Amino acid sequence: MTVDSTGEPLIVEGLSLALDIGGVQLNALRDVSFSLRPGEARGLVGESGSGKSLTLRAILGLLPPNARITSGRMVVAGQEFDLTRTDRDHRRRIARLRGAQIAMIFQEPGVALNPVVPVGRQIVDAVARRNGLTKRAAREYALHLMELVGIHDAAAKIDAYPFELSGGLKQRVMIAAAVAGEPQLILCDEPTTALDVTVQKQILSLFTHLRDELHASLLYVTHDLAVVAQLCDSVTVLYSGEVMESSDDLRAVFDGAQHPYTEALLHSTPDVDRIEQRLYSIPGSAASLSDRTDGCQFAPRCEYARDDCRTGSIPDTSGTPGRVVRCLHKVGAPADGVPVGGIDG
Amino acid sequence: MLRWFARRLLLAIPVVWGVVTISFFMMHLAPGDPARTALGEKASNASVAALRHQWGLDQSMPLQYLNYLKQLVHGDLGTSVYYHAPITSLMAQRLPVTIILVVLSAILTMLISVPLASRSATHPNGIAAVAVRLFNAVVQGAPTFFIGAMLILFLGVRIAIFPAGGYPADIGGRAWALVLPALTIALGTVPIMVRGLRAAMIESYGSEYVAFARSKGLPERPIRYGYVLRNAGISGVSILGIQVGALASGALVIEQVFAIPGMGSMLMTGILNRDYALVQACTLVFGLLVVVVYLGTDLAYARLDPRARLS
Amino acid sequence: MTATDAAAIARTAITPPSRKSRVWAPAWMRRHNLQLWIGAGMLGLMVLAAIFAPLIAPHDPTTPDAAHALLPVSADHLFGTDNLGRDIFSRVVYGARSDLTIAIVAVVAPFVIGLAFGIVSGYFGGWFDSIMMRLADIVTAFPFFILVIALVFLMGNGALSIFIAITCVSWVAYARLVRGEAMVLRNKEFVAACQASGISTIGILVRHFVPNVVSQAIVYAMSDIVMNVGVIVTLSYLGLGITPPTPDWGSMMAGGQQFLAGGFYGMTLFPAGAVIWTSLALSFLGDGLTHQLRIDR
Repeated sequence: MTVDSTGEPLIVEGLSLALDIGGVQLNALRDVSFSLRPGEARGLVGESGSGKSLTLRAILGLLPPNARITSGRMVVAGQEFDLTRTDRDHRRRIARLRGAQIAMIFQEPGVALNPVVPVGRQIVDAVARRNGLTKRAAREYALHLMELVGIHDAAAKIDAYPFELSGGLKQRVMIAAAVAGEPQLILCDEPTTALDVTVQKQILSLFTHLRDELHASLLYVTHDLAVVAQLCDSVTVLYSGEVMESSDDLRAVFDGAQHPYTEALLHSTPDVDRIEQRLYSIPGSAASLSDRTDGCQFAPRCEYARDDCRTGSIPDTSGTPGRVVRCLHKVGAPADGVPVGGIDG
Repeated sequence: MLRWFARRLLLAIPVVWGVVTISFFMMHLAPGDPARTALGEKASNASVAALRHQWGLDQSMPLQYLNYLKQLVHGDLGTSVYYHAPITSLMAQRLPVTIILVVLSAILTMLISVPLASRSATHPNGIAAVAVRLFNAVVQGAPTFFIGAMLILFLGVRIAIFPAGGYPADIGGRAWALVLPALTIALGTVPIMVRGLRAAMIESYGSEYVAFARSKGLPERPIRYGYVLRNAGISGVSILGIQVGALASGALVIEQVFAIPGMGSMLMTGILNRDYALVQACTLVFGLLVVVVYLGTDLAYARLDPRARLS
Repeated sequence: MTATDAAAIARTAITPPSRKSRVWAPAWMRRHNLQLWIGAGMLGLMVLAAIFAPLIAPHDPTTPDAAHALLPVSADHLFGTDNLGRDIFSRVVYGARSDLTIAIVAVVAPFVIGLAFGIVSGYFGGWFDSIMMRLADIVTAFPFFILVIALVFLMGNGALSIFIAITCVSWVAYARLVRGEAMVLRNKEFVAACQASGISTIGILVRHFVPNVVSQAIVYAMSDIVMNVGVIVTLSYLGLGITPPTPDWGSMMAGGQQFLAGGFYGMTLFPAGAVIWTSLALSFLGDGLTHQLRIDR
């Protein structure tokens, strides 16, 4: 197994996924593609139900039993994977990535740690097994990692059980366990959502710190664009299991969102500078799995939508490398003489 | 931990008191006269009265109760009319046999249930899972003694691997003789245990902590043992704790079927010979045994689940 | 908390036992709730056999006929004959009469007592509840069977003492089950609404609590009947229940056991089959009822 350190730590191409719900196949992800450069932090943004978490779990082969990948390939450090395969050999190859190449931090530290095993052991159990560490060395390493993630009295906490720690500490433990195998890529599944606001800030700055320290890439799933602005270099916006807009340069999106959905998301993000403004809220509610339609998924809620948005698949219209905009009537682009926002969906 | 257990012990005291009291009143409020029954219809009134006096049955109920408690504190369970011996010394011979039988059947229950539950949890549509369901459906309806009779027929008579009954004098022979009875008792509990364990394991396999363990790159084997079984084992232990009453009940019947000289067969002897003191003592000891096992379950539970030590 | 905390935790985790599926059934069976109908059919057959035993049984179940002992299965003797030459089929049919009757009737008293105590305990809580639950702990401290046997011993053999013994022991399960449901109901808004509109406490309990908790208790009763069949059959097997010559599955199996080694299986297998048939029927029925309740809710 050769590790190509110069190659992209992760490329995902054309990932589509169906969920079996009560015997009905529903498309949860459709043609999702993105990639990460070494050391890059990409935000994967969307409302709940947009398929962000499923995307992460698909990468690690940790999908629930009712999920089936219908198309898609990925490249991790030079190794290629056909994600539709389910055979033993493929599962082994994916399993070998876990922890060593790609690690994941879960949303709820309260339920993602084994309740009956001390946290110190959970931080290093996988690594110790992989690298054949002695008990003593493993413990030392656990202490080191706990300090790395900012647990100050690590020696006092190493034998604690998860239920004895606060949410923030548990999340730090999980981060320590994730970085234990020195992965090149860390998938973060809304790691601060379940935490108090003050703790969220600390964890976010821990991520910034860890990125510099470990030179790892981050794929950061969140519904909060403010977090993306603080932490990420690039962004991919998902809606109803499809990529709406994507950019290798975060500023390009924040300064000039081209997809109406991204624009709406930006408007609905609280901004300290505009505190007295009322927050914008997107009309309607996020499409549920069974509502998936032909054409643009966002069309039913889009101010700019026209008839052509409701048929076929929407191509990338950005025209710029490193940028994807799946929209026929981009924000700020006058098309066919129809005034922007002129026709209401 | 010590304080926690001390509190548990304190809480068990009213239950122990209740068990003692019920065993007392059960026998003393019962219709009929134990002394008359013991001596038979033909005995003279004078000899019955003498026996009543000897047993203290001519005293007032509260006084009898106090005497009963006093005797118990001194480890005196009374005298068996049938065996003409102090019950405490009879217990000393019989109780270990039953305890070994129950412990053995508990071990067998786990040895059978864990692999079955584990297999049917990971392969819910596999052959093992279907076999387990069919087995459960049939076994849970069959009376224990029938299962025992079938095991004797097939493993004791047709393919004579195990003795068909009895309890030889040598240790090795005894151990061998207890296998089939223990297996019979275990089979009665296995369906309940498999169902409970399987549900707990399926829940555990679907949990976030298992997903996270996998994401760390922990292989399936340590996940199965250190995560899934470790967590499901907690409910396994409590199911076993609750089932100990059923195991003891099973022992009572199965000791009859296999002619094992334990507590159960002593209780039956007492019943068939209308030996009140013996029946009372056996009932009491069985009750106390279960209370002790419940305490043991609490202890095991606390060892397995750190969260339990909090409350 | 009780002295048996772990047990209590597990109890809440696995009870009510009836909520868990007890019998294996394929998915298509579940979808149409066929278990309910299969269970009802199987039980119905057994109940019909019990009711019309004199019409169904081709031979007298009690008269010995030494000339026809240990006959194999034939058209005249569907299940063969036993060591005394009695027709096994007739005895199994009559056995349904004695065993099923006691098993079903013995459910009624614990059901009613458990329901009443459970509702009162769950609704009022307080000292009454504490005493009830402590009493329940003490009763369950004795192994079920041992308590039943001791009680039957005290009161003498026969159906009445079996009734009383079973009642003394098995009301606890109903009380615990119902108490749990009543505690949930107590905090519902309609209770406050009823109180506000001046309905008496007894009125609330009878009109609103009983209908709400009774369904779970009925489902549990199905598995309780199974347990009762087991108790009666085992008591008879041990010689403490229904006494010969009255036909009963337990004493039939007890009599047949010594002939197993000689290759005469019928005396044991047919009554055993009847027991398994009955408990399978009741398990299906319990599962089906649970399923139906879930649909109805």
